[in-house]
Amino acid sequence: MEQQRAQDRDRIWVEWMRAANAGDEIAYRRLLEALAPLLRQVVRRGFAHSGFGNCDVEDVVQETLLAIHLKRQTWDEDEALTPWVTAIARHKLIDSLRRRGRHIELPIDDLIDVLPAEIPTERLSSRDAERLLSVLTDRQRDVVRAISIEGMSAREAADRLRMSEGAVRVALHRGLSALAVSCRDLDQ
Amino acid sequence: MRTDELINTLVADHAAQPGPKPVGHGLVMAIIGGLAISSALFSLTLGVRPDFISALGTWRYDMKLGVNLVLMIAATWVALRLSRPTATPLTAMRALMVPVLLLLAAVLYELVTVSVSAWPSRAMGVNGVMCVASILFLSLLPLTATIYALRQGAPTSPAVMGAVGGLLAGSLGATVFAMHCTNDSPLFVAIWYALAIGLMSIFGLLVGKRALRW
Repeated sequence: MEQQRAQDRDRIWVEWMRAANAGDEIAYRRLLEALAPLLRQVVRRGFAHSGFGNCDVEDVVQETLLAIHLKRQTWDEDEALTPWVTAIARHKLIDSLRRRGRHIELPIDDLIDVLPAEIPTERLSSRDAERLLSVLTDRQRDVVRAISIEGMSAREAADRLRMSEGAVRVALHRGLSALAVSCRDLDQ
Repeated sequence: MRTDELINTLVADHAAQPGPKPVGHGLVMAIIGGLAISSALFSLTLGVRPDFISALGTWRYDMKLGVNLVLMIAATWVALRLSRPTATPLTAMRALMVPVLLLLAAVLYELVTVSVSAWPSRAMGVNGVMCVASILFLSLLPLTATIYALRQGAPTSPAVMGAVGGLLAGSLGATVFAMHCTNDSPLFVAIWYALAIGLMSIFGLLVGKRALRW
C-alpha cells in the first residue's frame, strides 16, 4: 500500500521532471516544492540517527535542492526520480555530518520508507543570509536578491537592474554555482 | 534565505537553460579535444614510428594498441556510470577487468612462446623511462579536459571518479604514444605502460578529490 503510493508519487515526479527538461517552468517549480518536504524528512532523520538535533536541517535541505538543480543533467529520463533525489540528499547529508566531525554510514533506506509528513518549520536557513551572499559579486547579489526575495523573472530583474536578460541569466547561474561552493566551505 | 526564495532562483535559472547537456556530451568533447591536442604534441615531438604500417600486421603491436584502446573505452564507460549519484562504484568498475584480463592473456602467451632467457630484454625494452615520461607528457592536457568535463557529474566518490578520469587520460596518452613506441612485447606494456597509466590514475585521484567535489 505504502509502496504503491510511493510508486505513484514517483511517476508524477518523473513526469514533472521530463516536462521541466522540455522547458516547463511550472512543472519544475512544482517538483522542487514537492521535493522539499521529502528532503526535510530525510535530513531530519539523518540528523536524529547520528545524534544531532534539528538545528541546521534547513541548511542541508537548501544545499540539496541546489545540488539537485546544478546536477539535474545526471538524471536519466528513463529512471525513477526518488532514488536519484535521495542519493543526492545522502551525499549532502554525509558531507554536512562530516564537516561536523562525524563519519557515519547512513542507512538511507530507513530514511525514506515513510511518506513525508509535513512538519511545520519556519523554512529558514539558519545561516546568516548576508554572510552567505557575501561570496557573490555585487551584480550576482543584486540578481539573486531580485529573483529570490522579490520573486522577479529574469526579464523583470533585467529591467530593474538595467542589464540585458542574458547578463542576468549568466549572473544568476554563476551566483548559484558560487553559493554551492561556499556552502561546502563555509562551515569548515 | 528562505527555501521558497531559493526555489524562485532555481526555477529562474532553469528557465534560462531547461535541459543542460548530459555529462557524456562534455566527456566525448573532452576525449576528442584531448586526442587532438595529444596528437598535435606527438607529431611535433615524437612522430610515428617508420615501420608503422608493417607493425600493424603483427599481433604484439595490435595487442599493444588494442589494450590501450579497450582501456580507454572501458574507462569512459565507467566514468559515465560513476558520474551519476545512484551508481555503485564497485559494480561500475567491473568493466575495467576487460583490458586487464586482455593484457594478462597476452602476457601469459608471451611468457609461454618466448624463451626464458629473452624475458628480461623483452620486459625492459629499449627505454622504459622515456616511455613513461612520454605517456605522462601526452596525458596531462587530456586529464585537464577530462576532469573539467567530469565536473558536470555527481559522483558519490570524487576521488574514485578522479582516478578513473586518470585512467582514461592515461590510456588516451598511451594510445597516441604507442604509434611511436617500438617496444611491442606485452611484458613491456604490462610494466611501463601500466606504470605510466597508474601514475596518471593516482594523479587523477589527487586532483579529483578536490576538483570533483560537489
